[in-house]
Amino acid sequence: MEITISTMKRATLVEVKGRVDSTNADELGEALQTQLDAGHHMIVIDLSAVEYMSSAGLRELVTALKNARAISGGDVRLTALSPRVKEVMSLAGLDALFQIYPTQVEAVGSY
Amino acid sequence: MGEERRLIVPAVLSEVERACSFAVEAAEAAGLDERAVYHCQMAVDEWCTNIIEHGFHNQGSDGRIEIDCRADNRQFVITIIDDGPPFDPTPLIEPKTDQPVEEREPGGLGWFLIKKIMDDVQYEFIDSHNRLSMTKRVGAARASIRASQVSFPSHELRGNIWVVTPNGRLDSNTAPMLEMTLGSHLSASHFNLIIDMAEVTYISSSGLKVLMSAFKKARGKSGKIALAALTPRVTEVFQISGFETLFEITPTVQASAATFPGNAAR
Repeated sequence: MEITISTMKRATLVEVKGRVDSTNADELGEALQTQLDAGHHMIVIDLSAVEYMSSAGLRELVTALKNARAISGGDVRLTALSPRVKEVMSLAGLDALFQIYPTQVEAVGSY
Repeated sequence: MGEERRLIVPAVLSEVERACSFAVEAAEAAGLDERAVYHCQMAVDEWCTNIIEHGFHNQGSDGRIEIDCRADNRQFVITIIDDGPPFDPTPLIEPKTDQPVEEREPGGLGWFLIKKIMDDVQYEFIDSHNRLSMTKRVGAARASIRASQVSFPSHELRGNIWVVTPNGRLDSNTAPMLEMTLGSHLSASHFNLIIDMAEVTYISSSGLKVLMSAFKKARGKSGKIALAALTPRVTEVFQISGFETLFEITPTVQASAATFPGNAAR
């Protein structure tokens, strides 16, 4: 898994690449928490390059969402989910919790 | 005639990916489609992770996990055997997926995902080993899509205004059915539709997407798709997703009908 973080005017873009599972999900969680701690609480996570995500990854997304929404104006929005990741989020009942956008531009622009 | 493959790995997280690759290879060889292969990978990942984290408390370098894959022309069965302490997941209660995010516990999802993505799951404790058998039926996914190719009920309210009445969960399984229902109205030039949501208990992004797409098509033909009688839970999804500002939403079908022109144009 690779994580690339870009601080933009409106939002912080977190691009995740590769495989997110129980061996590395905590790294994703830490990266997101670091952004929240730094006051970057409007987060967009681009999942277009995530080929696989297990429940360990989903758990980190939900934790970050909770922590972000606890801050006024804070949110974690998702973009560009693969059909498989989208399906698993839907089966887990998580897709309705997140604002999900088809493209990165729309997600960043939503803030 | 079936084919059997077996892999044994130490019970540590760094070996889980190898177990996944093994299952993927076996599932592909068994002729499963890409979606079913992904489900098998996920089932192996979730269960092995569970064994390592909860059975062996991340100290399982002496523990062993055995993964057996068995295929015939009807099904693909993955059996995972471990020598950790007995752990029967079957009595676990499903985490509530209908709560607002503040009240959700983020964990406890792995086992329920396994149950949802696999067609059958059986647990046994035999000869001091946990044994979980997870079955993917070949062609089951295709059959379930076929079964959903029917329509939700509709009726004509008055002068070319139609009421569509979906029910139950509108998720990735049932969204195609809604899509087909709305699509058949649109292709019959019924561009004024009221969707009575009273019996819809849940809507996922798949359901929202179908509504959105039909809404745009109707508007392109100077028609309108309006929603009526949303339950509180579904209302919340519309609020969170921002869809509530897009659609005209009224408490009843009658109130919705009043927002259409008296002689809705055909």
